[in-house]
Amino acid sequence: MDEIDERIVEIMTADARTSFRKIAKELERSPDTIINRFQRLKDSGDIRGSTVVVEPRKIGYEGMAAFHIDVSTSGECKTDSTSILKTLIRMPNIIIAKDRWRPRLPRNRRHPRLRPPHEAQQGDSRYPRYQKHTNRSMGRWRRDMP
Amino acid sequence: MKFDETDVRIIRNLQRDARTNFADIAAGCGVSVDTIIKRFQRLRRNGVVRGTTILLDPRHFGLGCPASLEISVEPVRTPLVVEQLRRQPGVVFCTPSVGEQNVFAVVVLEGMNELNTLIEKIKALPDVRDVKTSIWVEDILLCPENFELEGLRGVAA
Repeated sequence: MDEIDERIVEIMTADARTSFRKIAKELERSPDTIINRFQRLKDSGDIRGSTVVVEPRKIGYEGMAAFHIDVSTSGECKTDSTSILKTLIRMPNIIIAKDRWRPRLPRNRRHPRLRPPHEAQQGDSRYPRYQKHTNRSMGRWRRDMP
Repeated sequence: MKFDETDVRIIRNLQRDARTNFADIAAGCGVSVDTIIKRFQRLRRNGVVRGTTILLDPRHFGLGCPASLEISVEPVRTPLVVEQLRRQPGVVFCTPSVGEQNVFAVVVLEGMNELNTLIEKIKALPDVRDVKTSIWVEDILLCPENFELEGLRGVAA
């Protein structure tokens, strides 16, 4: 990425609908150059797409929330987080879903209430902190077109 | 004047690709390009549409460490802490929240060292009690089009 690419990204971040002609004029390059650069940025995955920013309050939503979901990876109810993510992102009003990696706290900083007794096994549902997490890789996944 | 099916269609199209030609949207709706342009301007004027933007892959820009932070703050100091965080480079989203923690923030940083530095900085702010961190791994699934827009229909423009 050079300075031209950076400027294109900057301009389009502020307004994705800026015409290539206008960007070209501003950067003193030909519109073709800008079109080629934009295509290259998309092909390389630097730019994953573009979207419209909707104000949730204006369409009847009062709040947003983040949920943390513990996935049990052992025992009877074994599941994998990838399939859970795929199910979640298909649900209406779920805008973002991701695996996470939670840093393990040093022993003395764990909340005493959540510290499992010695006999507890990993995956013991009574002790959420003791759940094992998996982080699996997956391809980019887009919701099916409605 | 109310929002109707055409408004919803404009937003749906632009959610998938903000650069969609207005002519294509017009053809899909069976109305003129002028109508689409006017409707889009109205959506912007009313604040339903705040703008358009491109979606970048932070990892391609040397930012390999996206994370969310949940911060416990003395309740009276919440607005101040949110304000301070919003000015902090690397913080892309910050909001007061209801729940166990009262501030939620999303940060995108170069790596673990930078994240650690930022967390220490936040912890050093007056009245910040605790910072919980989760680092996002692998691909982030993002579906801006999952917003249900049905509520918009019938809302006065």
